Amino acid sequence: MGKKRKSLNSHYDLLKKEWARKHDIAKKTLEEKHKEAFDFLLEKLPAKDKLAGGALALMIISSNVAPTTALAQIAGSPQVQTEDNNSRLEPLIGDLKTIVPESVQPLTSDEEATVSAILSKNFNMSIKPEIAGLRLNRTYGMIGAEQHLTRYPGDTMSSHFTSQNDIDLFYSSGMAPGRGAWGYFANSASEMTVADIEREKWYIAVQTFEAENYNSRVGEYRDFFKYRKILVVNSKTGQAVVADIADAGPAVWTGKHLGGSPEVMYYLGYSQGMRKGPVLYFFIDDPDDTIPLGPISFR
Amino acid sequence: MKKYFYSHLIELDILKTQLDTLNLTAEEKKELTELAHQNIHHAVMDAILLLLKEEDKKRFLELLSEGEHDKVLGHLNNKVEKIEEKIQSAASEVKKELMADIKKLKNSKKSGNKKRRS
Repeated sequence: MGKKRKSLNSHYDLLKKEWARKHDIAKKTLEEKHKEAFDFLLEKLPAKDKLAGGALALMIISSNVAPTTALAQIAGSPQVQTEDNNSRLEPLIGDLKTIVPESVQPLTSDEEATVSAILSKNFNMSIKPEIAGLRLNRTYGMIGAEQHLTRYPGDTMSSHFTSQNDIDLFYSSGMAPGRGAWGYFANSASEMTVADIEREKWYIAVQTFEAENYNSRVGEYRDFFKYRKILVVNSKTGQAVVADIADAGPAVWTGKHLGGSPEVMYYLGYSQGMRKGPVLYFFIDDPDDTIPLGPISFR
Repeated sequence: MKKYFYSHLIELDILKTQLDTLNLTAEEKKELTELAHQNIHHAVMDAILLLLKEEDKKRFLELLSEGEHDKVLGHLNNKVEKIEEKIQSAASEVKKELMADIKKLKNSKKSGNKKRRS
């Protein structure tokens, strides 16, 4: 029997492409977020098994197979792909340089449209300066460092972290005295979901109160801004994080236009020195909630 | 289909039924179901690693790498309250996304057919 000829936009092809894309993002995100866990696993493996590096640890976690089997699979598979992140970022930085002014100032509509197109193309997601006629006061501004937020009543610095690496990197930022703009993320520790943990971890504070006609549209804006996903990009280095809006601020007089959680600032490259710097910040149009929060893999 | 330590907690029949409504061969359906499993697996692993404290995480990984699947869920139950619900919730989120993809595909195909007919 002859092989059935299929078009490249068959149900199978389209779905496979989309699910493989999702899988790829999930795998990269898992590897990035839990690097410490992978490193630990690698330490536990026999020396010969370490040859395949992180890919092996990922395979054990991903496929739940014994190390020797995983090694055999790697040996028989095509070369493990690595990315030269810097070279991938060069075109993005080059494109942004031609559009984004050196001094931090509001972008014009044309500039916003061009930047949206550049970011959409480079990060493979739909990036917009406004959605349904709602927008922030600006899309290019100075980000400053914020503290951790209390996720549930009784959450403290000692209950906030689950890894030594996170304690080393982020404990010193401390916890904000009040709650975020939307209150607690969860009612209690036992009710806290992974989504709640992620929302606090990757939160930004934006000047919601400075949005156009904010006072006459408070309810509308509140619902729209609550945990809205924002792509935040260091306009000089291209380092990027998918963040969510979980707080309002900073005050206008500070000269800063938005604030980032300690984790957001770290992955944007602003966790040292003055702990502030210029960023582009645009809405991510993700109605089906398919884009995970956190650093974008090719920073 | 590969069995995981949490497989009994996750129901994929609805997804498979939705796949049946598409124009797929048995082999294609099997491949897509495996891909769906992999997507769910990453979400479940991410959720578990986020919820465990450092030492508990190490033990979890040890059990996993040693293939001690029977002990993994016991360990998790001892360390995280309502872990089974949390695994189900993480899986459910991904399942929802995958179902939405199937729905979108069916709708786009319908509108595509309409356009071609007009």
